[in-house]
Amino acid sequence: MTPEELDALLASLHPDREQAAEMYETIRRKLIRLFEWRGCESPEDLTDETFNRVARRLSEGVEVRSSNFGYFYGVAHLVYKEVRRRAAREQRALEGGEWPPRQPEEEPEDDRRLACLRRCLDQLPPDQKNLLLRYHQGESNIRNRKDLSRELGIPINALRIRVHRVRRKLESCVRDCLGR
Amino acid sequence: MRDHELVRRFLLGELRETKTERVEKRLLEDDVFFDLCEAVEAELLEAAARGELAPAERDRVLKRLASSPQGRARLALARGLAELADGKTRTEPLPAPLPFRRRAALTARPAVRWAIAAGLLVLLGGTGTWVLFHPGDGDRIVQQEPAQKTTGGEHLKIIKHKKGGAPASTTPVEDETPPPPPPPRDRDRIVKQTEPEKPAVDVKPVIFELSLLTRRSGEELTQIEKIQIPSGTEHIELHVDVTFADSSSYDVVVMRGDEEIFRESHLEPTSKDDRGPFLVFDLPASDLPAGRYRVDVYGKSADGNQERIKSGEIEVTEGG
Repeated sequence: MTPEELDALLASLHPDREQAAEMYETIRRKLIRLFEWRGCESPEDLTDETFNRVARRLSEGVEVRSSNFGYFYGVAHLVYKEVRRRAAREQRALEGGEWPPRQPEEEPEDDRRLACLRRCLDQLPPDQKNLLLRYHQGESNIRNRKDLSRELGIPINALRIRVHRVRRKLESCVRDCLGR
Repeated sequence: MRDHELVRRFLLGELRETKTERVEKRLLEDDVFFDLCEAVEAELLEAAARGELAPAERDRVLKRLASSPQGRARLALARGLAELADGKTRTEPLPAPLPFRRRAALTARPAVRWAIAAGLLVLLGGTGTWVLFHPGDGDRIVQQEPAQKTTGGEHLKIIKHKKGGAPASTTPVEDETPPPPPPPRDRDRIVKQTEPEKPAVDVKPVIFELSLLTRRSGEELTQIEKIQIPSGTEHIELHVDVTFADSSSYDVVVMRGDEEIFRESHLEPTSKDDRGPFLVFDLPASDLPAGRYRVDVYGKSADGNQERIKSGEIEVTEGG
């Protein structure tokens, strides 16, 4: 993506550049997840490809009639369909030959992961840490969660989302910790 | 359909393509809906890590949500959180709970005690074997051992022995008194009641013979076979005749939409009675929800190349 293309892209998202950058990040994170949920192998690359195409079209003067999100989704869906077609062809070609099995990527050991998890949990504010542990405690913990939502006076979905936002922070911390 | 159920089905790939696309658009536009989706994903991973899902559903969750490195990391996080929350690896006490009005311990309530006792009775009657010995009772060795195994679960029978003699009776005797409820482990937890093992049911799959077209290059598909899967069907088999093909093995690919590979399998032909070789594509009925699909069969041609030898469209409906 050229600087001009990036400018056109950000301008299309929001007149304020900082808010545009925030929207950019939000859309990027969501598209990565959508590609993941579709079972795509390189969700970040496909997301970058989507952004590149949108930016190119905007810089060429293409007018976006639908909402920004709708346009991004449309391009992402096309990228996805192309990937599927390519994957289907490659799969047929692979099955015709005798290729060695793909080696799984090396993953951090459980102990190290658990140590990072503990460290990151301790870095959370106490009320968030308590909430998270209480939410995940016990087998078949639906009843536990309903009780918790009643105690906090919020609907169960709101509790899910609140816990998830704390968990997202934790996930990011663990990822950074394991990356060191 | 409620949002929670909708995103759950979306994550497990149980929605039709058009609905999937609508959900995806909404995920992009609606931050709260997106957060809910990630939250439900985390719950599914936790349930899979805890072994709380049925085997088929667990496999689906792991395949769809934990086969990528990022997915495996999320699964590991879910497992770690569950372990820490349950105190299995805890080295320090759990911090004080959130401020809320404390209720009486659940196990102090008579109704709950009887519910626990009843649950344990059912557990005793429906699972496993063990031996009890009453040292003070010289006349009787109460032995509980498996009776003749039925198609599901084992029955217990109590054998009464007289001193030095053969078993007096082998008629089943029910336990006289329920064992006391276990001591409470946690004031706020309900003891899980295990249901008795359901008798195994011999489930025969529902078979559909697909008369796919033998493809020639450039031939357009004109025929759509309709498949109606009866309600309550657990397993189905799609049979494809390959009598006039030469390959020792085939790839069956089920496509949904334009190019989305929905299911695929590598199969060897089978023969039965006087019937020529055919392929058996066996899958759970839930793996083929209502909709239109294209089924392609690939085999090796005479010159050793992979080619599509049969193809057809099927329309799956449920009910009847």
